[in-house]
Amino acid sequence: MNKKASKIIGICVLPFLVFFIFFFLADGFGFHTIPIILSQSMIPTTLGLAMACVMPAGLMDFSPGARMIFGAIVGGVMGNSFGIIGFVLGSLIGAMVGSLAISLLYRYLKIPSMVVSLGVVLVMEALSDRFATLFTGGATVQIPAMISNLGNYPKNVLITLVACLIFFYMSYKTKLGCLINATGNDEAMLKNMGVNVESVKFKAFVLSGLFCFFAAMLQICYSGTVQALTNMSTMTMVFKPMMGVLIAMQLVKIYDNMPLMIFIGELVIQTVFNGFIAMGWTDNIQNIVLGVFLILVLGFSENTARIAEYRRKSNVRRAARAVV
Amino acid sequence: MSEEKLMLKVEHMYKNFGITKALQDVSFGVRQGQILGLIGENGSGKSTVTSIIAALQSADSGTMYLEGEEYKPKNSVEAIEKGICMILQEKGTFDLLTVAKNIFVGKEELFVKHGFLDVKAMNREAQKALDAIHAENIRAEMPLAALNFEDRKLVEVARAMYSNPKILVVDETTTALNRNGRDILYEIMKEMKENDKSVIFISHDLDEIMSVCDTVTILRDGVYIDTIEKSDYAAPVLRKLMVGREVSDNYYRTDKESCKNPEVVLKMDHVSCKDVKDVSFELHKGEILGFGGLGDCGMHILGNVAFGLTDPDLGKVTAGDGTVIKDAHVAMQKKIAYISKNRDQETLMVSCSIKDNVCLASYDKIAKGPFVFKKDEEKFIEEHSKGLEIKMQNTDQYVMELSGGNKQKVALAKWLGFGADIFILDCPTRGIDIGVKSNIYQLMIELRKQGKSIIMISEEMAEVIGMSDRVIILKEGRISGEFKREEGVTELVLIDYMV
Repeated sequence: MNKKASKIIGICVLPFLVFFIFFFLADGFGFHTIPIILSQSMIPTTLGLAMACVMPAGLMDFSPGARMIFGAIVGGVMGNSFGIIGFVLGSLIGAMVGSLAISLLYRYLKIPSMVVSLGVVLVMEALSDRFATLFTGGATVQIPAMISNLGNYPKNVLITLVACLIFFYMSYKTKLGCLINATGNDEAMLKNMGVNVESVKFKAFVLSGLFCFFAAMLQICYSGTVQALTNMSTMTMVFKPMMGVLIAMQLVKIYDNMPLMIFIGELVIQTVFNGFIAMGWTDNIQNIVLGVFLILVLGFSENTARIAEYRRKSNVRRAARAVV
Repeated sequence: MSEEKLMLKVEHMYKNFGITKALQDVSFGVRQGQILGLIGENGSGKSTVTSIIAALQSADSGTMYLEGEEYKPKNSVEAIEKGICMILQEKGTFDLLTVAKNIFVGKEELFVKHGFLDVKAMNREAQKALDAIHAENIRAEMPLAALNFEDRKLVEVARAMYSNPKILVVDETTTALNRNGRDILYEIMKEMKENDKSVIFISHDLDEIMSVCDTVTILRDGVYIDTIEKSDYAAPVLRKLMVGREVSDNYYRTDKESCKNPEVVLKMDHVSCKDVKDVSFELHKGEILGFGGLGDCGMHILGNVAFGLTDPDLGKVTAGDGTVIKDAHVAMQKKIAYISKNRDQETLMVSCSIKDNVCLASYDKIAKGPFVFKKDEEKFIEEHSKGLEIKMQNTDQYVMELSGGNKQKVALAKWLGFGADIFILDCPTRGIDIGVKSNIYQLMIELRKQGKSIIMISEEMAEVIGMSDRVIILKEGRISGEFKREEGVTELVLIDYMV
């Protein structure tokens, strides 16, 4: 087996390893949970892809959740009136409105991306609420089963796969993908090379909107309804995807395929959460363990060089003692 | 200089940074098939004028002509399109990209077919660019982070040469390259000259300038001073033109006696670490101990180990009182100072002010209780940078805006203010002009007289011999020779121990 294949297999084994830990620990956690875990991983994966468009460029964005909800609400409203085409177009338009807003605000007002994204979260949440109330009389939008079937397992996996393929193409097979990574690496140097860095960041935000669109479709199809959230509640939706992206950013050092690594990262997170639920753990305990898990994963991956150096030193010292 | 053969002409160029006049009415030209050396002290305006030529910044006023036509590039892309490429003194690569993507950054559209980036074609073309400069050992598909500093510089050279420039600007790049890298660059410059193209070459090494360049243009304090043809080269004349005063050929120590003080202030005991193998030595009070060898002999890691930044695999470093130097905190408690060869990354905070850098190690002295007052900081800086003559607008200026020599002065001011007793100076005069070099040597002599001890690690043998009480030569990580000053050792003798 060549080195590349063994690296991929090594990484792909990770979610299975986590799965089997809970398989033996938790009653009721079995192979039947696999489709559930897979389905639950789809929305965080697509949201993770949205975040991974901007994070490598050194930008921080808390708004994908708000953009996804707005996209889902617009898609739901239009789907009720114009069927599947209306649903798809509505989700796309809704998701892109927020993305264009954040792109333009960041580009022309020169405000830090995190601050802009918080502003966009507030505005998009309010807009979602107003939009839903205007067309349905309440904060919840429901879609017919014919449309929500689009997001049923395994179609949701296919939608996510399409999103992953687009991300892979954009990230590895286009000029923009190269420049997004280079921007995060050294913005000033890239400017000196005549690259319009502001334009790169603008496009990165716009691109993230495309993945919010996929997430929006999956979100409303998951239960057939979507509720407009306020008081920055949509921000909590980005934490799980963010964890998956952080794990992926470490895994790509071993094998460079960001969408696959994001998917694996999200799968691991979802498996862990489902395992906790099967064990009857409360939300608080789940969050504590998840936080510790995240610290351990990052702590290990960030310190691989130090660990290797420590092992090398230990071997040298052991050999020296043996000579004495 | 015949007008018709001029490749590039710069006329009446001015550039100010705040109150600093970086360029004042600078005019000069570069002929076709000419290697033009640009020399001057740190802060003389060499990098400023060349970065304007390469369109990395713009001039306040002045005109440039490229092959007889007015040349007004809007950005570096246009400059490259018009045939002007620059290899920078500082790092110019992206660690997170592959070698190929580094070579073609900003030019990715060359490999886009039907909307797809053809990474394999990019890798193939990048490998051709690397092979063309005889850097075959670097593979295009490798992540750049896997390369060492010298090879990364060669990637920049490959990037510059791929666009087949008419004029190549080489800004103090050779100091970052090893012997092989330098030879590659010299060969490229020679080929450009043979093909009727031009090179503007900046270096502080006068011997290198005189051997490589056809003509030398001298700048001083942002003013054009003179242009000297190869037939008229004379090192003392060039030095005088650069500095504006006579600079002696021999600015090293004149005494022939080594330090006789038996008091040991630092001891390295059978240290092995990475490239270093079983190294032991003692540093005495008031001694300058020089370390020499080839670039990869392990001497640079010794400085790191002595300051506690690198934990040795075997052996230990102890201060005079027997305290083991296990980390930099302990080293500083024992009044040890360290200036790394990699000054910008390991010694200075370049994106902070001069004030922050100088005061950083000494806030315990400056602070009054929990408070730090600006006037105390200013007073502290004035006191400890007095003799160093740092060229700056004010102490709030960012260190990144300073020239190499002035950055080194800031690093020295930090440790002088700290009150260090032991100075570990790794390549203290790297990339520094002869004026500042001379100042640093005088400072070292003065510190020695005050009873301070210095470990000087250097790749310049003349400097090691000229300044040290004792010279230790390293070869492949081991001590291969040790010489006292009174033995009158020569460079030829040392080279025998190095290779």
